Amino acid sequence: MSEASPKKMGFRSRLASALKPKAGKKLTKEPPPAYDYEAEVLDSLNQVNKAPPTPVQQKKPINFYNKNTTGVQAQTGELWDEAEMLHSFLRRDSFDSLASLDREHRNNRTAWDESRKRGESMIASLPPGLWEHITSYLTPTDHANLAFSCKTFHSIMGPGVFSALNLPENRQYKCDFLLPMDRLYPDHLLCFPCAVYHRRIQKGQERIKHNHTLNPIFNCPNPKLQSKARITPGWTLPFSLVQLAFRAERYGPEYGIPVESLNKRYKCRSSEWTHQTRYYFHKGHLLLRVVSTCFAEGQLPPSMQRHLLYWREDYTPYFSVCAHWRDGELMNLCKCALSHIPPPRAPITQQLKSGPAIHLALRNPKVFISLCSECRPMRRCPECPTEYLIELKLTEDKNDPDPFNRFKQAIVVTRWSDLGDGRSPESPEWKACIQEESSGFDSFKALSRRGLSGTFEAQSGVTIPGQRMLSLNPANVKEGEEGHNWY
Amino acid sequence: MSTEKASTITLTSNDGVSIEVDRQVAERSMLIKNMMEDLGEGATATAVPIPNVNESVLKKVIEWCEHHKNDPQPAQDDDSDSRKKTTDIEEWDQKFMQVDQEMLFEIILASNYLDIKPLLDVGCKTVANMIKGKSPEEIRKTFNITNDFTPEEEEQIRRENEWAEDR
Repeated sequence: MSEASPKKMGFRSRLASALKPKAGKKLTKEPPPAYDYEAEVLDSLNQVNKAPPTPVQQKKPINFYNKNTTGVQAQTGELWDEAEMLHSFLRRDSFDSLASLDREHRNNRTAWDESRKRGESMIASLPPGLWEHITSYLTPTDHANLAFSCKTFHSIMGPGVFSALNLPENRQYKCDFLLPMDRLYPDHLLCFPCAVYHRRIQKGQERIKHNHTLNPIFNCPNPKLQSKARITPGWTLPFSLVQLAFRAERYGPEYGIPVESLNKRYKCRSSEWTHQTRYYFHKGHLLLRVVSTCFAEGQLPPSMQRHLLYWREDYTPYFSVCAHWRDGELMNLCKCALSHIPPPRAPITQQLKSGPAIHLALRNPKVFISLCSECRPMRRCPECPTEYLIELKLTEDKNDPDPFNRFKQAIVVTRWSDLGDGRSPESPEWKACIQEESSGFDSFKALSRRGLSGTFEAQSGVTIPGQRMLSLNPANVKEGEEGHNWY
Repeated sequence: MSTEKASTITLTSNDGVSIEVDRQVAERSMLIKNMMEDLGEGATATAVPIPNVNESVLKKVIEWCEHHKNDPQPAQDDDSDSRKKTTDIEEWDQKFMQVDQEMLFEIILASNYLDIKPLLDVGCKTVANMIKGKSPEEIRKTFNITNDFTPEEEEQIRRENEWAEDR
């Protein structure tokens, strides 16, 4: 090309134009400062063209100290300053203050605000009769906290204040008083039915086990009174494990167990259902997701549908449900979803056996099934923070001996629940999830802004199909076992 | 009766300041009311000394009595149990009680001495609300007191009450 051009270029200029950086590269790479190609090229061109010399840009002296330390990013327009970036890594406070913080923490027991008057004399100025009047407005928990704050209050409240907590009617107050002591007892766990810190007998090894396995977390005289949530047939989540997960999260690993150790993937012992449970902390609440899957054939008669869905021992569903599953549409929706599964494949040879007509559609029934407007939307239980999604998925059955029939439709029921803040079995979310009687929890009010399912799935970045959310019990009729809708 | 209500009496605080108040206002105090009934008309002529209460507290108490002068007198010893459970305070009283702790305690003492039951209740409820739902540490901060239990003493209380199993 250079031969074709009318003006002959010198060797140096051709070499220069070959080595000239391309326009696109300019954004990312600057030419080395030692040698200015631009000026060289201009120079040589001027020599060739014999044109009047254009003023060559005055080269600035390179300042190595300032070079590249500040500037504007070509791509984003962002101002950046390396010096500032380096300084931002530094600890701002002096290390003296760290030591003083530690000292302050140690002296905290005897610290008081010196700018204010000491309170002891003021407290003593009120006669005991008036303190009695004041404490008559308080609960036994407050009495015990008051007596435990200093000796003056301890003597005002009298010796009976702690033994009053041992009265059976004050059990809840005693738990409220003892609960903040969690940090003092890494080797113990507060037992709510006994209102005592029991010693953990398998510290750090506490796990969820099948109900038929003896799995005590502590030696408790009232094991049957422990609060627990039913997950699937044969599997429950004891509240003490929730406590332990929260303690590990709040205070450190020696106080409990990691929340991941609660996760489980298992097959039901009495059916073909498989379950996958996952737990996740979100804003101080424990969220639960249970995904239950079971292969289902098409065109099942109602009795077979029931056989697939219900555990024969106590007629509860095989998948995970909240305590309010009998009221509302949950089971009808599952049956509706099952009815959408097409009949099994009928190859041409098989079709010909029954007659000469051939239906190609029966040979390969469609694999992706869309559910109807009834069973497709997500459902939220109005009485507890629980959401359900029913899906049909094409799933591989690895155990099927027929290699041509491995992919089958499976019904997948996913349940998301909020198990509360783990402070007490009386916390509203936990109570609402496990108690069939209404506890006054209104999930549509409590979860108004964002669905539990969305919150849970957002942690892993997985998006669930954007289904609208409907009430599980649109008519809000509560009949429990008496109702006829649930079986 | 109506002429009596309009008359005023003079109260003298323990630091010697005389404050003139309507008799109706002063009679929110059962102490003064009983005294008036005992002494009759003669009491209005002389100043009534209030030996346990200083001027600023007495003024504050009178301010409360002024605002509540038209409240019905509470019947004696009725529904005391039902009222005791609640620590709700009406809005004006809440604002009235927004004083420093020393003043609050003195108002309680004064209302106890002057026998003004509704004011005593409001004062005690205010203190109760300062304690309610707080941990021992927070209570110490509220009243600016120190933890004078040694760690051993605390441990002993825990052990005595068997809050945690030893084994």
